Amino acid sequence: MNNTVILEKTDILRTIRGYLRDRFPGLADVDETTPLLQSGAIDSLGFLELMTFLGDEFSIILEDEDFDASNLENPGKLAEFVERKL
Amino acid sequence: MKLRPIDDCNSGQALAVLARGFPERTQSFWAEGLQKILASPSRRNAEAIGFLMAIGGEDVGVVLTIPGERSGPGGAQNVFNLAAWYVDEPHRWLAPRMLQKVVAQEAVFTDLTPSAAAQQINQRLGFEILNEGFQVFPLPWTALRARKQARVISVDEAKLADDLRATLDQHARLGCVVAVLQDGSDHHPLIFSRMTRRHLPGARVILTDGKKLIVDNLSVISRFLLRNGMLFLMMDANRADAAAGGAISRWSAPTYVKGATDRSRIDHTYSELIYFG
Repeated sequence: MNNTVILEKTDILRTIRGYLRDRFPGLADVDETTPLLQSGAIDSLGFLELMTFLGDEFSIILEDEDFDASNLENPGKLAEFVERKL
Repeated sequence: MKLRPIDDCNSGQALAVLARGFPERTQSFWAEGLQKILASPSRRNAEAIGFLMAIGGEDVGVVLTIPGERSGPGGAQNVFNLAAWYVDEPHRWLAPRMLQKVVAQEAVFTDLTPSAAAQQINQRLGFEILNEGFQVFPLPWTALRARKQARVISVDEAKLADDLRATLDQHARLGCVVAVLQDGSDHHPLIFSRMTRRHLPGARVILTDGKKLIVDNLSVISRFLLRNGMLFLMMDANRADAAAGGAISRWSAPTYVKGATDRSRIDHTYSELIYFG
C-alpha cells in the first residue's frame, strides 16, 4: 500500500519537474528541493500558470487556501500538495 | 488568501493598503477618490467598490472595481472598472490569482490605465485591447475645418432618456463638460473630462455614441470645447481609426476590456478617469 503511495508521489513529482523544466528556462536543473518562490525563475503570472497546470493535469479543484506559499516552496511540496488534493 | 469586499465600513483599511502601495500619491488623493466612488450614483445597489486581500488575517493587497452600468449588445450590462490594484511584495505572486477571482464574475471589466505588468496579466485573464492608444486633436486648428456639421446643444435643450440625462447631469456635477450633439432628429450625448498636459488645459472623451461621430463633427465640437477653455481633445483610438487627419497619435497607452463591448463607442462614465482624474 505504501509503495503505491510512493509511486503516485513519484509520478506527480516527475510530471511537475517536467513541466517546470519545459516552461521555465531558469529551472532546467530543477529537483525535488529546488526553491521555487525564492528562485526568481517564476514570475507571478508563472505561479498562476503553474497552479492552473496542476488543476488541469491532475483534475483537482483549486481553492483560495491552496494558494499558500508553503505549498509552493519546492517541487516536493507541490507534489505533496497535489497528493493531498487527489 | 481571502478576499473581502470593500464597502463604506472598511474603506479605511483599503486606504491604508493603497497609500502603502502607491507612495507617489498622497493619502488624501486616495481618500478623496474612495469617498467619491463610495458616493457614486452608479452604486445603485451599494455594490462593493473592490476587494481587500488578506493573508493570515493581515491585509496585503487591494483591488478597486468601480461599478457601473451601460447599454450593450444584449441590453444593460454590469461594468466594473479596475481602477487600481496592489499586493505587498512578499505576496505579489498572488496578484494574478486575486485578479482572476475578481474578474471571474459575469460582467464587463475595463482597465483604462494598465501598467506594463498589468497588461501581461490582463491578457492572461482574458482581457482584450479595447483601444490601442489615443489621438490628440489641437482644437484651435481643428475648429477651423469648414464643413456642414451637426450642432452642439445644451443638455436642457436635448431630447434624452431620463437615465441618460441623469448620467450627464451627474458628470457635470463631477466636473466634466457635458453637451449633446444634435444631428437632425438624433441627439447624441457627449461627456468630456478636464485634463492638463504640459500645462495646457484639455479634454478627454468620456462618452460618445461613436468615435466617428466626434471626428465627423470635430469642428463644432472643437469650437464648443474652446469656449470652455480647452485647447486639445484626447480620444481613445485604434490605428484603424487614425485615418482622420489632423491628429497626433500615441499607441503606447492601450486600454483593455473583458466582455462584450461596442468598440466604436467610448463609455468611461463612472470610471477612474472621473474619480481619480
